[in-house]
Amino acid sequence: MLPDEIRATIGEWLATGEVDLFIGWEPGTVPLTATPAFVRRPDEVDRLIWDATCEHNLARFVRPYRDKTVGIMVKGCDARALIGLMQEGQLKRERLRIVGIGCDGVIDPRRVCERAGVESVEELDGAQLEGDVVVFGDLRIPVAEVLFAGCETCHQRDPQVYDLRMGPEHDETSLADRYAHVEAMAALSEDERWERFTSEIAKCNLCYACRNACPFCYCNVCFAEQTNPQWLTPTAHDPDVSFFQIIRTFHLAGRCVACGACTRACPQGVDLRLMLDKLCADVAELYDYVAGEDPEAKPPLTTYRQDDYNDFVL
Amino acid sequence: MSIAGESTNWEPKILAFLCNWCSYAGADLAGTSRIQYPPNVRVIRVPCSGRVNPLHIVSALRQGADGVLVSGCHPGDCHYLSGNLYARRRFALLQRYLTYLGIEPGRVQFSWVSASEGGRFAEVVTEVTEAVRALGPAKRLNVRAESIVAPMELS
Amino acid sequence: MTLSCEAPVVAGMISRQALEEALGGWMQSWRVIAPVRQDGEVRFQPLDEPAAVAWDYANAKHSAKGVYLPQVERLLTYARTRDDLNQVKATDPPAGPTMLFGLRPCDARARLMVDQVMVDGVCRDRYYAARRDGTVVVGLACEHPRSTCFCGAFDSGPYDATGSDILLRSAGDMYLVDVVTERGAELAKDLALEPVDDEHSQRAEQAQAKAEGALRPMERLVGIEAALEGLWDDPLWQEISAKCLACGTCTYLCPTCHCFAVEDRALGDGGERVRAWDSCMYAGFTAHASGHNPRPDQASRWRQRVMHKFSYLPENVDAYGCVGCGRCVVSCPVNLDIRQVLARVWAAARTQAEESAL
Repeated sequence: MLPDEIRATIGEWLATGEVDLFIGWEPGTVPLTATPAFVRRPDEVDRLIWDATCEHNLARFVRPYRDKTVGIMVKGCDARALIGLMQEGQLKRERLRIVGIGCDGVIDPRRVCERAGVESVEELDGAQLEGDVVVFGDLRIPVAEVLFAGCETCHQRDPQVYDLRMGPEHDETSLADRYAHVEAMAALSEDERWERFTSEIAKCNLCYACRNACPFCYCNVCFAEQTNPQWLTPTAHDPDVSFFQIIRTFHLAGRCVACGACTRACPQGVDLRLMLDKLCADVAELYDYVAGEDPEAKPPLTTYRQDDYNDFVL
Repeated sequence: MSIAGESTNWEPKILAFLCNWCSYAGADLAGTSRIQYPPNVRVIRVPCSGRVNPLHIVSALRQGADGVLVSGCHPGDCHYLSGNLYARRRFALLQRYLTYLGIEPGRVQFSWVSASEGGRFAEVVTEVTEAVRALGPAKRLNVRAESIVAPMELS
Repeated sequence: MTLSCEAPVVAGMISRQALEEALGGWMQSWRVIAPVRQDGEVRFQPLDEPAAVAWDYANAKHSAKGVYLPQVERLLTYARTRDDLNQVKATDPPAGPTMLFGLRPCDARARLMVDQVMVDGVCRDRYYAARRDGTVVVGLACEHPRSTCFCGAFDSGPYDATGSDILLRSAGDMYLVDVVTERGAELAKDLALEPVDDEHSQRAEQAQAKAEGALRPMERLVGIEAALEGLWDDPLWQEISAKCLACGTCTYLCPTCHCFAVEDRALGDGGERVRAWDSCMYAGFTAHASGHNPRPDQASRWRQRVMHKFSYLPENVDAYGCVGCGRCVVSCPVNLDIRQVLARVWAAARTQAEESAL
């Protein structure tokens, strides 16, 4: 629920010109879906909502407006993305008016479909969120049981940067659970890991939704679309797909804030978290760094120490 | 051609990115000192190991390299002061990542070889060549492994 | 618009079991592609056994266009060998007649629309033609349109026979068999048909009325090309495209989208030329070698998408590039709903008309 006083303040920001644009969410046209809303006039703030369907990382939309002052709503993870973008010099804090949301997670419509016994989300016609329960016909499913997988192990649900704050406050959670799936993968044999990796990306059809949903994929010309040199041909054949996935995820090493937007945007259900969390785990282990915590910190691949991990060198 | 199983006298094809100031000079010294080492390595000279992009390494595997070696100055000795230090972090993460995804450890290797270490260069190349030979032709990520074109027959 | 057909003729009715037996026979001489359940979703796949057909499916997430326009298609290979430095081999598309069984009316119409561009227009795409020629369609009328379906806006509907050779209409325990084309009449000879009785006829009609009534009301889209004429510089394109991720999911899932790129892949001593789906949503779609891009932002790309589907295609091939299947609405990661876009188009055109009348 979007508190009235927050809604009113957003209206004031727009009325006084303190922000040129406010980015939030509004209800979608498909059951249990929200959609990004770009609001410019005070009378439009009634469109804005906040609930567990608001899954998009809106930080992804701010960069084109960086010479204006933009208001934005961010969950804990999205706020980490804003911090990361500030670290990389892409956004200025003073150009942002941030409504930070203490978040209990967003729902995964696919899990709701499974529980409801339907095949696809548009068959959940009439499904609603009532507080923290998904209601569909006679079914009442607690939101906590159909969360997006990444939300279940979120390491920081509270926004670390904001001008206004809403939503519950949480105790810090440990990072340990978050890497359980990475540890499980690492424990497999080499052939099993390759099998797991290739079967995941076999679902990929190179639509680039993951890249386009990510706040940190902002290169003017992505390597995947470079023609000089041309690194890959966009044929959705396996060697091209694996090349794209490996390099794109690696480009996020030390930057990925584990918001899950990529995994949720993927129309094919590729488990991108399995790859990205490995990079997050290694960055934490080798360089004692977690992305999106400190706007003044230097991302780990832009710095070095004389005594950095060296054992891997022959 | 590294088409899997096509030829019984397969030799590993290894791409080596050598930094101009240290490792390339070290390789040159190995040559002028007449130190024998396996001829499987194809050298690409770069100004600094920090110039090497993960795209180059993964692209090499994609295009059929059986192994990739990146070699630079020892930490602290980089001609550009810190290029190899940035590279070290990049490569540590990349190597772990590729191993995690199922690329055989031993295919992508890193070393520090200085300009005076001709012998060390030969050692590194020998070690990497034998490791890759034991792994066999690279099929994972190799776009040519699924190629339908016939390899050029050798006389 | 050419996407219509003469009224089909009811040939008889048949039980599902008898249909499955007929399918078994057809599978001997046709490659039968049908909706099949796999990994928790419905996909169009070659049929292994008649019982695998997902009779009660709503629609598959992906369209069936991959059957006649594959996502990746090898056009030719070239190789150097010792004796021949320049061996170029054109690949031949798979031979053998294909039956698309259980296609919904929207998908059947979509295929006809793509035909207008690929084979029935000014040129004939040899690879597409090889896959498409000889294909027959046994359509399955849609009893339960979804909240995201809008075939009705095109003067079509869940029981439209256009694009099918035979259309099956469920009547409880039996299916009514409508023959739409001559090829359909030929096929119908393989079916153990019974005469239709009043009860089943009524059930089918009731199901049709119910299905048509279940469609969400939407402003009629036929004629929208006139609305688009004055909207080239309208600010609506900027507004509606703001949240677009440019991921191309809509174009990949769309049964009428058919744009492709031809790429050459050099593989050392030879290579291949492939055709692969491309998307007008991508920045690179119109990037020139000079670096110039005539569609430099998502607003211009979205304008193009809407104009192509609702203005240029009707003008060039007399068919809309949309059949109202709703796949793009279901799968868009930011819920950019084309129905809302089209409603904005009508509204913008009205505003313009009002302003110029002043």
